[in-house]
Amino acid sequence: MSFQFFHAALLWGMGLVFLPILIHLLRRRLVRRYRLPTFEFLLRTQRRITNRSRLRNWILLFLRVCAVGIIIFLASRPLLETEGGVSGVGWFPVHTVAVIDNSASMAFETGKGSRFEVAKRAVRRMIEDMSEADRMSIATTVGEPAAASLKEFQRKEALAALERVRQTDGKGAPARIVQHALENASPKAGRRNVVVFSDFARGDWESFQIRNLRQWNPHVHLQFVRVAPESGVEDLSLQNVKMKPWPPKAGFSFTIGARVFNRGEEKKSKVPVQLYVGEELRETIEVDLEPNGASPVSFRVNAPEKGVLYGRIELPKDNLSATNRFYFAAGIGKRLRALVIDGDPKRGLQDSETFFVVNALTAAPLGGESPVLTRVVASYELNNVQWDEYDYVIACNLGRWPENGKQRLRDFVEKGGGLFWATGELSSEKAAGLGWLPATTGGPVTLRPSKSLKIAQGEEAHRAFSFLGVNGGRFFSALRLARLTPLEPARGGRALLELPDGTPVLVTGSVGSGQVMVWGSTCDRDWTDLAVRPVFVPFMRGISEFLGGTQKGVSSSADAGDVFEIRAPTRRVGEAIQIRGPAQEERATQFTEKKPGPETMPTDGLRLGKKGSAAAVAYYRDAYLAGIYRVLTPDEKHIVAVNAPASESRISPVEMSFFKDKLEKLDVRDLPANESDPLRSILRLIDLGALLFLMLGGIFVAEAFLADRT
Amino acid sequence: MDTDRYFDPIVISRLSNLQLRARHVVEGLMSGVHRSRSRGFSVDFEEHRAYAPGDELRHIDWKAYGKFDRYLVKQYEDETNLRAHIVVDASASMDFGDGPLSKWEYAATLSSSMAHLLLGQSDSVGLVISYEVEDVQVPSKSIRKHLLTLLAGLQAAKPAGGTGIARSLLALAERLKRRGLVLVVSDLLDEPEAVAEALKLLCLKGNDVIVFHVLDSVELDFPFEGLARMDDVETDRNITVECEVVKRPYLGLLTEFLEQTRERCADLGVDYHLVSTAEPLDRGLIRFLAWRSRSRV
Repeated sequence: MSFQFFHAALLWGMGLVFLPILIHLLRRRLVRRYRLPTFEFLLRTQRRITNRSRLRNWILLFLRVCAVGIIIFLASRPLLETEGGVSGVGWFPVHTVAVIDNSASMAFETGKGSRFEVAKRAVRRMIEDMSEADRMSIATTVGEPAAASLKEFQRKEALAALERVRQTDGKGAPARIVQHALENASPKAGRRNVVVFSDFARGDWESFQIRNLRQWNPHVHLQFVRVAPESGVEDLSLQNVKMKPWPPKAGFSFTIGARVFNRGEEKKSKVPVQLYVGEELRETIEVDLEPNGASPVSFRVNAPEKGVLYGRIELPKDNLSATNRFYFAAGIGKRLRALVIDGDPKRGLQDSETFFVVNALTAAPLGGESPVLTRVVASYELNNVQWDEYDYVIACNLGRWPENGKQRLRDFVEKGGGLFWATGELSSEKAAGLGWLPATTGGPVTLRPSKSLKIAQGEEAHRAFSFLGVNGGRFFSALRLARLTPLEPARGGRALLELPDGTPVLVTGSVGSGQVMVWGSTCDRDWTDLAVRPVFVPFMRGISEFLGGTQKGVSSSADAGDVFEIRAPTRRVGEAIQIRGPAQEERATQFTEKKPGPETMPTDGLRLGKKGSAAAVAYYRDAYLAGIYRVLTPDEKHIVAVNAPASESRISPVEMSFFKDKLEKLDVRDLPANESDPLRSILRLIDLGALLFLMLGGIFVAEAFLADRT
Repeated sequence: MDTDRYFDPIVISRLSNLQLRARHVVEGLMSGVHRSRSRGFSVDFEEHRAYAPGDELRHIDWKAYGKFDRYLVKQYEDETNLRAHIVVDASASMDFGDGPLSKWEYAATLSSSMAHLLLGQSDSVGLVISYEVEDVQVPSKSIRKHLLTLLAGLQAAKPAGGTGIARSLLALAERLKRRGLVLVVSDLLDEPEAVAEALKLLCLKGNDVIVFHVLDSVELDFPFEGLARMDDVETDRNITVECEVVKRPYLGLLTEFLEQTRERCADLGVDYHLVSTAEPLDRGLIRFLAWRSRSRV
């Protein structure tokens, strides 16, 4: 049993207890002298009362000293610590908030169950020890955001609530929970305790900021219980897992690198590190690990041509399984396929328009891969083309068509394919007979002198120019155009590039579900120097993405506890989707209309689906276990790898002095895993304010009574 | 006519001479009062005195008139019918006073005023100044100039030592051969039983005894506050007291003492008067005159 003082500095004022004694002594020094003939009567009087009076005076002095002492004591807000459980008595109920750390590091095995289980056992005993008037609230460091106020349970409800608390692989937010518990402990209760059960792993607690505790309530006793600290921190963990390139490209290989860390005092030999792709074991590497040492491992994996890729790296089972596995998953990117039609194949290769176009589309960095696959065909080969294999078509100076060719091209575009129609000597609208294009073409016109181009007003942000960076118009002002097929936008078409006098040179428009671009010049050097200008490659790549769409791979990984935001078109508002977790359990969530305004996505989260088209969103907030999650929607499938946050592998505890420096009043106790009566380590704190007030009142009454008697 | 000023202790304190004080008091008391003299009968010539209206003409010494051309009245030693003895306490406790007059000054003024009155009525007055061990005595005489002797004795006296009033009264009782009047002016801070015994003896011898119990207002009211060290005026003793604490029991004991004294006096037939030094002096004299008038009925 000991005292805590909220304002300990005020105890220096305890010296004031000597004030009444000082006054008493000073008064004795100020005694006045009188002569009195009737001294004898006084002497007899004094003899009669002296003993009683002296006793009363001593009592008065004592009471005044006590009163001063109690006032100082009261001002310093004394709290009495006593051991022995959390139960109160009927007229002095206790509200206890048990904060259980259920972050990944609490899964550490102690030999008597995990630390999380030890903590739960202790809380269960606390609940069983509650009296009828007592209340218990249960909070976790990982889980749903704390409610506005902590729910107060009686014994039975509290036991049920405790059973619902689950171990997670997430990262704890202890400061937020502790703050919430301190601020919301029931003010109606006679005593309020907040008991935090945790391993105080660095990963969770090192960022604990005292400033987060805005309202430190001295009437709430905060106790930190270190769960099974004697079990140590021996563990193997996977750290610094890196995959390159990521997301992987379709059909190409990627590497997975990681460091295996031995957080133990013994050397580990031939520790198998296994790579699983899907559920299939692909490779095992054995590493030797020095005490507190690390060893790198690396795997090479071939990505499939399409679909999704998922798998895991796995270490042998040890004390903390959450750090033994690392899951990965990604959607494999699709490469665009372009059909380039050469309308004038009789010319030499290097003079051909298709030469310039294909080289621009397949340009790639050194050692890299082009995102576009091209095929060049002559116009007479169009009958042999499987249109469905291509994402868009680039037609260069196409004047002649095989039978049904025009109709097939139109069907292809209307179904969503793209078309880049480059004019030339052979091609014109009339000659081609393509009345559905977004522009009509006239006969070729020679420009003397040659002219530059400019981006039409308001079209600078068009996707076709997205590879040109800021102020892309400067590239077009440098090139020269000597001959032109005049274009007239029609059927909803609009100009993207034009001559300085406003004559359209590049017109775009929609046909069915597809996009069409009509270029009023050639793609070789006959009419313009565009094909040999640096702007040609990014210009063609921009056109490729505009017409064929983005087909990049998607990395889908998240930390345990993160929220998934799934986006979908507006038509899916109200529709339910299923998410299948690592334990094959399925949970449903529902699309709701996305409200305009600021993003509602939590900071820690993963966004799935196309952002641009999203007007319906669904949130999944139950990814607390590491593993592979499958989001099952009717028209698309997402696969998400969820891992314990990297910080959870930092399981060595923070020094308690770290907290003591911040929380002077903090009470820290250890809860060994084999503690038979964990309640013995739980303190209770009694606020002596009311008792001292009563004592002070009693002293004042006694003082008034005795003073009046004099 | 405002006669109060004659008896105001403050006014009297300004008069340094005891004779003046006595005359001041007596004249104030007698102003407006018809003088009447008791008839005495003489045996031995003592002296002449000036004729005063009211004296019987047959007492005028016509021979002296022929010689001095003034009306003189013969006085004889046995002219008076009252022999009075004034016993004044001169213990150190009487040398105390918070007001303009100390108890001693008050007692001396009161005594001299009564002597003035008695001698003015041709009574014989003697004086005993009581000390702890030995008294100062002035034999009783009825001649008027005896007043000067009495006053000189009072003025020469200095209060000192312990109280010996009981002893003085006892000695006086043994000494007195004839019955008379004994005026006791004292604070009576002696052994109550001894004082009572002495008074009893005086009464048994047929004396009329009047006790003027003189106390200061401080003694009667105990107006002190706070912590105080009290010194005994007669001894070296002292005591530190919380005045508020001791006031009530002190006043209780004092009242008990006064009541006891009053009762004892009443039992003995002693005329007892408690006199505060804050009171005007005439009150004591009025009480004395009242007694005189009663005793003549």
